Order: sequence, then structure tokens, then C-alpha cells
Amino acid sequence: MTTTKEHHALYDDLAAIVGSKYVSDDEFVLWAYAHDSSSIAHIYGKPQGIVVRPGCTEDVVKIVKLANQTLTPIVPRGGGLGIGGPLPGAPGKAIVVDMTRMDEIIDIDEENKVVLAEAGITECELVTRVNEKGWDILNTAFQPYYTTTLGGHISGASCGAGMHLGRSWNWKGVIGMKVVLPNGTVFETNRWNNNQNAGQPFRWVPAPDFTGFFSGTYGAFGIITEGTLRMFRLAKIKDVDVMFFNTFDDLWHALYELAEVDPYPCEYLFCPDPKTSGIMGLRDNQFGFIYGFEGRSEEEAEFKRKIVHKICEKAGGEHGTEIEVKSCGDLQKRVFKNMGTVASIGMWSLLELVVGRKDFPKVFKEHAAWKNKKFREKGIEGQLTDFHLVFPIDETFISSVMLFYDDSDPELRKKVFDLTHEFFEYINHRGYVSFESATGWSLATGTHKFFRPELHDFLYALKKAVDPNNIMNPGLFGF
Amino acid sequence: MLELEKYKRNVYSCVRCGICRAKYDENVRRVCPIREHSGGFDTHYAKGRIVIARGILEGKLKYSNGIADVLTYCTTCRNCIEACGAVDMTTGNPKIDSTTVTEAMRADIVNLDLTPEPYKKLSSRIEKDRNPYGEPKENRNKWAEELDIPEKADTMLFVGCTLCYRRMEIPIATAKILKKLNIPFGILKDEWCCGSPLWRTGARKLAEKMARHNIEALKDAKTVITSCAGCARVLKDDYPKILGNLPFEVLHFTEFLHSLVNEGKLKPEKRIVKKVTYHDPCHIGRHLGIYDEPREVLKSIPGIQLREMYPTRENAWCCGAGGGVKICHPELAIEIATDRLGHAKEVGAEAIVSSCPFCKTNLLDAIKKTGSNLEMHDITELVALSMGI
Repeated sequence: MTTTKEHHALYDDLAAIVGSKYVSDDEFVLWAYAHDSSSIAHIYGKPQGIVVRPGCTEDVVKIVKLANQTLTPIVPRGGGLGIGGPLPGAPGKAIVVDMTRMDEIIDIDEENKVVLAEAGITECELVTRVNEKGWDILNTAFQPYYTTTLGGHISGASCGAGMHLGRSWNWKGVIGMKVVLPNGTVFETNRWNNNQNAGQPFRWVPAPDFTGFFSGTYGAFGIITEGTLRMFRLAKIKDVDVMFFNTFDDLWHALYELAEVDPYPCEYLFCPDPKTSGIMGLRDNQFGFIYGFEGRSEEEAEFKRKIVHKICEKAGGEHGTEIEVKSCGDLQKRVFKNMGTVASIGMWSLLELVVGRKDFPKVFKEHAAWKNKKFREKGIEGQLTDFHLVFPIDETFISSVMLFYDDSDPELRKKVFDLTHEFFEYINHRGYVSFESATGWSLATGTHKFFRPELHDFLYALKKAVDPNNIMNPGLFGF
Repeated sequence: MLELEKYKRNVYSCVRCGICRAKYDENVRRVCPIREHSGGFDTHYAKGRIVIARGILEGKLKYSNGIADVLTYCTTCRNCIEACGAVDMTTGNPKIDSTTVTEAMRADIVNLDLTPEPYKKLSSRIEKDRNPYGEPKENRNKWAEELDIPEKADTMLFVGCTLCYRRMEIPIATAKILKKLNIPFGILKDEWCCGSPLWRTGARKLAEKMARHNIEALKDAKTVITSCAGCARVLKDDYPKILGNLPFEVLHFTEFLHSLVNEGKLKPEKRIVKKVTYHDPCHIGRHLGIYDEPREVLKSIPGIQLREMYPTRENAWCCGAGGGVKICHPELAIEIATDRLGHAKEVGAEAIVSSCPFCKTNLLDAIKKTGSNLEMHDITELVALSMGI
């Protein structure tokens, strides 16, 4: 449809780079891009100036150079699955670089056990396609993380490092990446300095770990266009089991001991509190301990299950019944790799915090008490569904309160919004870490509050050095 | 009041996870054919449209020509709803019925006089000629001239515009099958467009007018059968929603054939040695849940080797023609259909079989454009062939 409206100043230049089919400055298109999957998107989402969908790294280079020449800010975007709130960008002006057109797998290198893919591919597509070849990668099998893009995942935009429940943080599976720096230079991380070596990246090259450096920088230091991930063999046997504990302390004894088993015997593990366990159709008077285990043979899988059983039994755990085990298997099928079950409950807001093993029992109990107190104060008990779960990941533990509510109720929405902000203050005062409080809007507006001063200052200095014109995602790291 | 207001809960239930764009697993290869073949902006699939809808409901956006245009980019295939999977726990219905939201927005666009030109032409032709092709009313039953079909019977064949004017081979095969089986049936003397293209593109008042006429004309029937997937969807689903329970049962012809096969009344005997794949039309697949019946009918034909495409059934890739896309964006529709040819080739099929005249037309257009050697048949044609007619 032809329009007579005045286009963004860079419309023609961007159309010359990617083709007019892939450029839009329509008001409603910008509106759509202003809203990610966070519960606060409708409060903080501000339309930027123009959206462009590059098809290759060279397109991105040209876009970045154009942005630098014209001092036009850029907001890189993957699948729009951030849950920390949209970035401020430069409303009405910035170029949103939608990376989802760059969605190819470049190489599944089975001999070297790595997969190289473009940044716009979704995690679910990448996982499925490496699974088809008999391999797996570190990934988060539940939404919204499962439909995040590779670039969104590495950049931290889809809520931090990502949890492969039980196995590790997903960022540990990232070996290298291709980044278009703010000046338009293409930089490949963790490759040997020797120009003759065109082989795969090696994360532990004797040089600074720039893969780690760019992870979680939200595109503030460059746009990720490709990523290389470590692959591991897909297990032939996968199964589910469930145990129950009368008290949190009993559960904690099991979790504490299990954390020292190396390699970790669970493919995934999460522990609902009694109320959540009840909502899941399990026992409403005990803490649940739902875990998946896998093996390349029946024997290996069974061996792992026995390790978990032994530790749980020692801590006073009770075995789930056959029906309960089946129910957990069904739950996994419904929730993992799927959205429907979760979205059926309502819009979500996550009040999660991450701490080390030593402090976790105290923190978990305080977290639960804080939530209950706030629910009473705000009079929202019974108006929403809340889950409280424990996720052990590597050396850390996550206490995760998930709120599901009716987003069409403005009063309730406001209360949840206030609660979320109060939670950020709560964890900030106590020195805990939360993905939601350090991503998206919060990252852009609150690093001076959430980060230690020396970290904040260091990031500020780095940003200033790498991106003097403040092109990439302005507002991040106080710049 | 905006039509969209009726679907507020649908709009506010969306958590913007984007699975309606990106689902990819052993059964699904991405979700939205439009998104894959257009500029691919967020507004070109369900999530973005829902965000726009919310902006409109909250008064932050207003309907515009631009929004009207972007709303034409939806085949109403409902694959996004299938991928989403969120369920209203009180009714069991989809919680985020993004297709219905899109149709409601199209209705608002029409009511606000922002109707895109192709939609306007479509409505005006249906208003004037009772069919979307602008063909003379008097030619509607021309296909049946040699077949001596009565105007009244307990079982009425609702033919549909596309079959009457564009794919006459299908109603001819349908009629011959019924005659060979000695099943008395009739066709209306004054059948009007079922209203499907109107319903899908937002012209609800005119669609209701069509519905009222057809229901009145069919009121003495006990069973109404149709070989058109679009007509089946409208007769089975839209008519009762607007006008209450119908005085007759509605069956897509594949359901009717399936019951005949089950009862032993239909026994295809002539061998058709062919590797075929079945393309699920969205209008009887995801819209009505008819998946097994056509497959069972195909399997009853001796010699047929049925191969399933990937994706198939509930996750089948739309042919690209539905929801007004073929009239607004014909090249886009053919691009999408070309995907389906690729899916058929991947499983070694020699022919695609479907049960929708619109799918047949669009897939044939893609075959012609790409020079593919695939055959394209409606299921009724193969059944008729296997019956020696």
C-alpha cells in the first residue's frame, strides 16, 4: 500500500542495504517491536524510529556503519523474548535491527562436536535440528527461553545465561561468536591470533576470553551475527522420576549433597514447594523433587537414578507413586518445549533470585516469607496463581517465584508491577542477583543501583572506548 | 463498539512468547507461512497482530490504512493457535484465538470504511452476483446441466462458488459418485455464496445475508454435504454461531464418503497405482478437526500408497490461498504453495490429493509456475476414478 507519510531519515539508505521489503517505519510495526514478552512491556515499551531485517553479516556491517555516520542509535533485537522489559533505545529515532532473518544453521560439525549458526535462529529450531543428527546442546527447554534466538540467548537479552536445568548454564556451551563491533569491524571471538588458522573457535585460547566478554552485554558492545556452540551426544534413554520431602530442610539435605556429585546425575531437576506441588497435581503437603535422568544405555540411566535415590532416601525423601511419576512425565511433555500449559494460566512475572549454596536455605525461606507478606499487604492472595520452585544449577541455586495473573485486570496488573519493582529493591538491598533485575529496562536504568560501583565504572569506561558515539543500545551501563 | 472488544480476553491472554512464529520440533517446521514469505516483521504473524490489537483496545493505536493492509497478511490457517496451545480452562477452547482476533480486526476495518480495495471488490461481486468471481448467476449450475439433479431432496449438495465456476470437475465427480451409489440428492436452484470469503475478510453483515438466504433455501434438507472445505467450515461453524442451531446436519464430502466406506456401501475397486500425499486443507483440518476421514477414504482405494508429508495433520503447512491472501497477494500465495510442493517431493509423492477447491487451485498454480511434475487431485476425483466413473 502506498503512503504519503514522511519516512525515517534513513529509510532509503536502509532499503538500499537490505531491500525495501525488509525495512519498515510504519507506526504500528514500531509499536509491535516496542513490546517484548515482559510483563512491563506495556509500560516501558516505546516505539523506536525504524525496523530493518538484515539477511547477512555484511548487511549488519553496512547498517552499523550507516548508524555511526549519522549518529543514529541501534537497538538489536532477536525474538523479543526478554522478560526484563524493553530497552529504552532512542524513541522515534533508533534503528531496530531485527536479527531473525538470519536464521540458518551454517554447519553441524560432528567431528569437532560444534554447531555454527546464525544469530537469528531460534533455540528450538537449533535444538531440534542437532537432535535430528543425534546431538544436543545446552538449552532451556521451556518458554519463553525455548523460542529465544541464539543471539538473544548469548547477549543475555532473553534473561541471562539460560538454564539447562541440571546440566549447567547455557552460556557454558558457547564457544565463540561473530560480532559486528560499533565501528563496523567484524570480530570473531576466541579464534587463535594466527591468521592461518581458519578452524573452529577454542574458548580457552591463551588470550582474553572475548566470548565471555560479549556474553550478557545486551548488544551494547556489538551485534552478534553468528554463534558456535558445543554439542554433546543425545542420550538414548530419557526418563523422569519424583521424590517428596516433608520439610524444606530435608529437601535441602538432598540438594546439598547432590550438588557435590560430579558429573551431575540429573538431566534436569526442579523442586516445587508444597503449594506448587499441589497445583501441579502432586502432593500439596510435601516439597516435590522432580528430575529427569538420561543415559546412553539403560544401565547408565539406572545408575544415575540410583545415585539420586540413595541421596534422597538418606535425606528422608519418599518415592513418588507410579501415578505421580507418570504425572511428572506428562507435565514435562506439556511444559517443556511447549507454551500452552503455562500461557493457559496467565501472564507471568518472575521474582527470581540466584545465590550460592551456603546462603540458600536462609534466602529461600526469607523469599517465601517476603512473598507471603507482600501478597497480604497488597490483598492479592487468591487473585493470582503463584509457584515457588528451587532450581539447582551448578554452584548456584535459584529460588523462583512465578506469578501468573489476568493481564486484562488493570488493578491487578498494577499491583503485580509494583510488587516486581519492590522485589528488585528487596534483592538489591540484600546483595542477591536476579536475571529480571539485571536485564532489559532494569539494566538500562539501574546499573548504578544494581552493580557495584567499580563494575559500573569499568563497564562505563569500556563502553565509552568501544562505542564512543554510543550507537549500540544507548542507555546501557549508564552511558 | 469495536468488534475487537468482544475478544479482549484473547488479546490480554497473549504472553508474547512468540511460539506462534518459532515453534520447531519433530512435528512442526516453524508456524506462520506468511511470516516466512513476507517481510517477516512481527506484525506479519499472530504475536505482533495481538500487540497491535491491545494497542487499539487501550487507545494507544488507531486503525489505519496501514493496519488494514497488514491485516490482509493472514491466511487464517490457525497454525499459530495450534502452535500456541494455550487453553481456556473453563471452556476448553483456545485461550488465544489469534485468527478470530484477526478476523474481528478485519471486521472493524470494514466497519470503519478502511476496507482494502481487493476486499471491497470481493464484497461487491458477491453482493451483485452471489459469487466472488463476478460470474453470471445463471451459470452457477451449468456444471450440472447433463446430470439431471433435482432441486429438492433430503440430502442436498451445497456446491460452493469455486466448484461451480472454477473447479467444475469436483462437483461433477461428487455428483457421479452419489448417482452411482444410488444416493438421492439435490442442488439448490438459487444457491448463494456461503459467505466464507466474507467471513474471513470481515464483511460480516453481507456474510450474514448470504447465510440467511442459504439456510432458508436448505431448511427442508436433513443432511447438507459439500465438497468445499471453505463452505464446510462456514456451514458447520460460522452459521450456527450467528444464527443458532441449523435444522440440518452438515458434512464435508470426505466425512460422507468415509461413512459410506465404513458401512461397506462404497468399495473402490479400480486400482490406482500411485504414491500420493494428502494435503490437509486448513478449513476442514485445523478449523473442523477432519483428519482421519480423508485418509481412510484414500486408503480404501486399491493401489494407492499414502505418504505423510512433514508437517502434516494438525501442523500442516497452509497452501497459502486462504483468508483472502490469494486475492490480495497472489504471488505470496503461490510462494507458500511452492513450499508444499517441496514437502510432497520430499516424501516421494507423485501426486498431492486434497479436499478443497481453493487448495487445488493454488497448488496447481504453484505446479504451473515451478514446472513441477507433481499431479494435483481432489479426493473426489480419485474416488470417482476408482469407481470406474
